[in-house]
Amino acid sequence: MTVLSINDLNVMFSTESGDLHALRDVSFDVPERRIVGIVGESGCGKSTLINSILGLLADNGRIEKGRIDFEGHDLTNLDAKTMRDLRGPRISTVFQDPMGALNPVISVGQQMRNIQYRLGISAKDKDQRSVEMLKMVRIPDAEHALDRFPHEFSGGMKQRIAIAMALMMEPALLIADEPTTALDATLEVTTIELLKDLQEEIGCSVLFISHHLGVIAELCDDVVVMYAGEVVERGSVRQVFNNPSHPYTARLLECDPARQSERTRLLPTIPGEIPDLRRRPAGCIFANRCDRGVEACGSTPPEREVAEGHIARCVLAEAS
Amino acid sequence: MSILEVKDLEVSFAVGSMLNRGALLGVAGVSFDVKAGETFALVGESGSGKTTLARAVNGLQQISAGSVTFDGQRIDGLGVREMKPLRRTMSMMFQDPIGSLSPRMKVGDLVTEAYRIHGVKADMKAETERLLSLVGLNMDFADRFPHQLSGGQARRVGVARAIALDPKLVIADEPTAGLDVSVQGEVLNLLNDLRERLGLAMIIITHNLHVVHHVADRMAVMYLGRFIESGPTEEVFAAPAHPYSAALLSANPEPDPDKAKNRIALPAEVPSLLSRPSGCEFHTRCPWAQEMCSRKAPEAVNVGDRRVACHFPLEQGASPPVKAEVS
Repeated sequence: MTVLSINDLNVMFSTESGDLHALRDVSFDVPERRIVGIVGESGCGKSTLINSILGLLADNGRIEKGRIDFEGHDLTNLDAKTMRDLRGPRISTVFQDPMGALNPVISVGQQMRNIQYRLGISAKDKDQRSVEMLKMVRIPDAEHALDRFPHEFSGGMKQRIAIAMALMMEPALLIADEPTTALDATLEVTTIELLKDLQEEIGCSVLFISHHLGVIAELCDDVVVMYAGEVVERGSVRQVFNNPSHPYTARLLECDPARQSERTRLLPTIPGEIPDLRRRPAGCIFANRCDRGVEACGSTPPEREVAEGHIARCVLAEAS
Repeated sequence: MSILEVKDLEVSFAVGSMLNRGALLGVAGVSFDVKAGETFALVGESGSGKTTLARAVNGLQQISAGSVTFDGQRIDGLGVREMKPLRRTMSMMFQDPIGSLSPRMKVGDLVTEAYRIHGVKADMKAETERLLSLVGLNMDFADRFPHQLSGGQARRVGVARAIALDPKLVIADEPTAGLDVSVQGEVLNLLNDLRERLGLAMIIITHNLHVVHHVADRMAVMYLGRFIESGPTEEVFAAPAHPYSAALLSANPEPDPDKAKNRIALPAEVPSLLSRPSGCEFHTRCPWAQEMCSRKAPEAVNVGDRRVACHFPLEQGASPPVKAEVS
């Protein structure tokens, strides 16, 4: 079963200097009970993608073409009310900064009660559920935590409370946008382990956005690699990390200092810049930075299936 | 020769209300030195005092005890006016790349701002060109405002500003936080290149341990405002002797789905600086903690070339003892 299915999604932004093609032909699925990671440099369209799913594109953005299917709805042309009913109970989100998700002047308990307004149960029952949820995210002294305010918790705890709130209504899909970037190594690891446990317990799917390759490798089942608004490679984490088939993925993995076991003063980089998305070059989007370019790169590359479920958008990708 | 020497530095913050005054130690007695051409890394969780220490070294934060000697001169307790000429030779890169640039100044003016502040006469246009090309930006950027820059470009402007007047020491607070791996490599390579060519010393604050491994000559691990382990980077990575360093290194997510993970799990909650634990301050989270750890604070001991503040320094590859579940 597929929870979320994105097909041929194209998103444009109107800017003063012309239309900016932010997402081009993006397609991938989020299967039931899987954690799908999206990785790519800043500016590659990760946030645009989330906003398209949530129906929160900025006023100058529009979905030009494509479908986003979720629980029988096409999210690209859903009326505001139905969308509002989906956001929260069915699709929920955790962002990088937990303080952005928590109201600083309302107690944690009151905020968690507010989330459950659709349930039609008594305030006491709601509090009971809140306490259970806080225990699940391992907040010590959960009963008393309800009376406290967000600033009384540490950064890691605030992020765990935000996760508890996002999962409170048992959504089908959780979108986590860089939820651990602001945390330190030890807290990062405990937070992703917690996220994995909760995902299994609640049985939801997770779309996990990060530029930290180590976290993706650790947490996710599948991974989607994006570059300049296109999906250049997708497959299971093992397929993509062990056999990167798009030159961009390969270079990205090489760049991670974690992959250099020998100590080196000079770290590898990818020379060149991302092309201007207002003037998308014809052909392969990575051609100007790719060191394996051939003549065929001048025309739009096909999606090649390297192995079952492992797809790379490169003319050089070959089935192994 | 040491360009910077810090001895028993303490920074305390006043807390509480008028009737209930208290103080917390953000940095609790730290000593280290940095030699010319050397890179020194500070690692630790947020709230461990890394940034406070950097600000104290730089004179942006008043210190309550200890001394800071920079280039042979005591600089702790100097006033703003006395500090000013020193800031030519000791520069700082702040954590937030875009936030540390004035939004109303153009990049060209930003990179040469130090010349105007210190009254250095120079051909500003030529200097702008020199500095921008040094950090790999072309002259088109000189007319841009900070909001028109990407995170990586803003970092480079930050680097250009920091090195404008040929400093002897650069303090870089999270120079690569939030950057993508390839841009991160570019910024670090740039700093390393300048270190080699200009012989500048660097203090890097980061929580990315992979970065530390590659760029730092020596490092210190901070916990609750103290150094719990410090010494040559390679030694610390090869065999961390303090349980906290070991846990920190084992918690480093690696981009390899098949890699076996031998994590040392720590209880997540960091003690409050207002009520520091007794004895060894790490005993509340330490998997190896023994009875004496809660009573007696450990003295720093030498392990190889390192200083380690632990009663029972770890052997290489030690794994935590299995404790009976107490419920």
